[in-house]
Amino acid sequence: MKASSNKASRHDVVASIAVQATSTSAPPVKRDPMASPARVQVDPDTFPDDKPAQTGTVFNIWYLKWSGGGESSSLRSYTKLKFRVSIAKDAGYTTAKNNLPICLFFARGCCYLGKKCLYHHRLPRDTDYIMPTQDCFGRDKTAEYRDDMDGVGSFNTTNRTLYVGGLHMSDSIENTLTKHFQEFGSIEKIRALYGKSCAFVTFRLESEAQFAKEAMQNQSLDGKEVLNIRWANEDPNPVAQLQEKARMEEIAMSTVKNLLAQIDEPAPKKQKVTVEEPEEQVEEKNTSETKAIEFAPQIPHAKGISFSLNSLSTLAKLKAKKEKEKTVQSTTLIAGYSSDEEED
Amino acid sequence: MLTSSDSFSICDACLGPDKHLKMMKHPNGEECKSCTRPFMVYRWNSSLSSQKAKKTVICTTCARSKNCCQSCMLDINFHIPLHIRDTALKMAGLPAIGSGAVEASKNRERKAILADKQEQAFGSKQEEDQQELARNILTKLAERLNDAPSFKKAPKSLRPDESKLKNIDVSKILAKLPFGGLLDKETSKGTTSFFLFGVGDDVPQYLITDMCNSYGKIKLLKIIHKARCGYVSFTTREAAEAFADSINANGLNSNKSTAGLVLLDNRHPMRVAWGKPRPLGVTNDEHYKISLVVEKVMKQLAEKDREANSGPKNVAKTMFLSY
Repeated sequence: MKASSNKASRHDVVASIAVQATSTSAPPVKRDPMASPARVQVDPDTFPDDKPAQTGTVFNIWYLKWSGGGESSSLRSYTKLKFRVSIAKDAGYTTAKNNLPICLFFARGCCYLGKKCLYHHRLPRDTDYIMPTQDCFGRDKTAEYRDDMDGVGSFNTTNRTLYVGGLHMSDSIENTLTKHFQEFGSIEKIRALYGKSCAFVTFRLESEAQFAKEAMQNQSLDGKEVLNIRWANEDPNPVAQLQEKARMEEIAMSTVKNLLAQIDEPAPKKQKVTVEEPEEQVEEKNTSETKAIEFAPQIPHAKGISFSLNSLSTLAKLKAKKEKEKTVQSTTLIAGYSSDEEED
Repeated sequence: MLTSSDSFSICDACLGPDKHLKMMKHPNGEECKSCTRPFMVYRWNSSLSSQKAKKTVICTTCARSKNCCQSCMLDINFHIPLHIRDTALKMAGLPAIGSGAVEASKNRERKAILADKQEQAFGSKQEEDQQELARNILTKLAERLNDAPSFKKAPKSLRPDESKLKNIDVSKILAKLPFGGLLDKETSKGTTSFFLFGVGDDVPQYLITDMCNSYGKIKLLKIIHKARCGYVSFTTREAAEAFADSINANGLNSNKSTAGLVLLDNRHPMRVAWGKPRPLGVTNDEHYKISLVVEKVMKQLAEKDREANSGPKNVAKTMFLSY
């Protein structure tokens, strides 16, 4: 009896201390995660090397998956991943240079390199330069979506919306989704379809959607469900389409404005490109000849190709005009190139 | 000399700033990601870019028809994404670049055939002086810029089938929603949550999150854009009070007998009142019916505000502009 009351009082003390600690602490100062080194997310020595539960007849050691065996193998295996990224804990600086992509293993919560990783351990930012042909992890996009809308995505469209399937619906599903997905970016809209146990989550940036897709794939929300995340198809709602169109027009306007402003600052570059032609055989590597192509007014793509819309040559000519006005020095400028040496 | 098959179109940004650049050439090295035909692949490393080598991903024919870079697929002249360029051209009333037939086709063989035809067409076409056309584009775009305020806004909502809607009863849901709610401390003892209504269809959720986060931790946030309303709830009463105070003091709410008005991002009006989270309907039709009521209430409240005080006339004006 006495012991228990003692225990209780100690608990109370601990609790009160905890309360004090929380109440006295100033409003949480946001620590910059990038100021500290990235955390090692998994220890390679203790990394489990177990086969997944048998769902087929043949185990493919390259994909670590079971295959064959009729129906069961054709069904998706609904197993939750063992790892999950926690941005607050895991993000940090790595040896990555500025324009390198984000580490895919970091997004999946299982990068064992930590600060030694060659890729970034952080969220995508809107200042990142991501080629339209790649996603934020540096993987190449394809022209078409995969049939199941999974994978890296298409370079013909900008998709900021994810389909989230396998949900257990409740009245606060929007709140739950917000809680879990806003860790990876700014959520613009969440639309839950109660009848179909799925939801659509729209992010502000495409790269945030890409990150969230990898980070939440096969993870659970608060329950035991296993999420199945895909790219969303285009919204069939005509209102949403008009809104998207208006948004695109707004972006296009600001882009054009920037473009018109940029014409005032021409920066002609001087460049020489060498094309190396390796021989078929490796042995003759040393004898591979090297051609030097000088980028003259007759540059390859200007010569071989007449752009259906020669708008750049105008831009370039505009630039050239300005150049002439400024300097007497004559530089031949087509498509932004000029040769190293003097040419006619 | 380079033959025509040696040509490529790669933008300055992809080539990098190096004075001398070494490129590897692989004849028929890969299939074009756009038209699926094999093409001459170029790979190179530029000192500025990542350790990862850059390479061309689409063939010259596809790049030429889209007028884009073979590596980054940005417009080769303007360095902007193709869909933005095409939107801008459309806005200026100019013809689109490229037919888009290759992209539209789902069949790989058909894509290749279309691309072959495209290539032949390019071969026979003489290089025209398109300077006029290009100048047109820039001037038209510039003109269009001046008309920028005349943007038509996206429509607010679409009316679903009226006959269907009659059978749907949302009165039970509506009865529990605090449309007449206020934003003073006395009537709301102990609550930490707010009912938000009048949230536009195009209001991003992160605007609301950012606004609330500055007052304290959010416990619950649920915005249903279709129903044009939602909830936010804080973890502590202090945070909630600070939030309410800030709205009361934002200069739009001299009339305390209506729910507090907020202008998100200076253009999206929204009303805030104390209120516990209640169900907001589950189906599309229910959401739509609620949104109709929300719209009506928003108008009434704007009217009330205007009657009550002649002060914030501009508020009422904004409300009417957007409804």
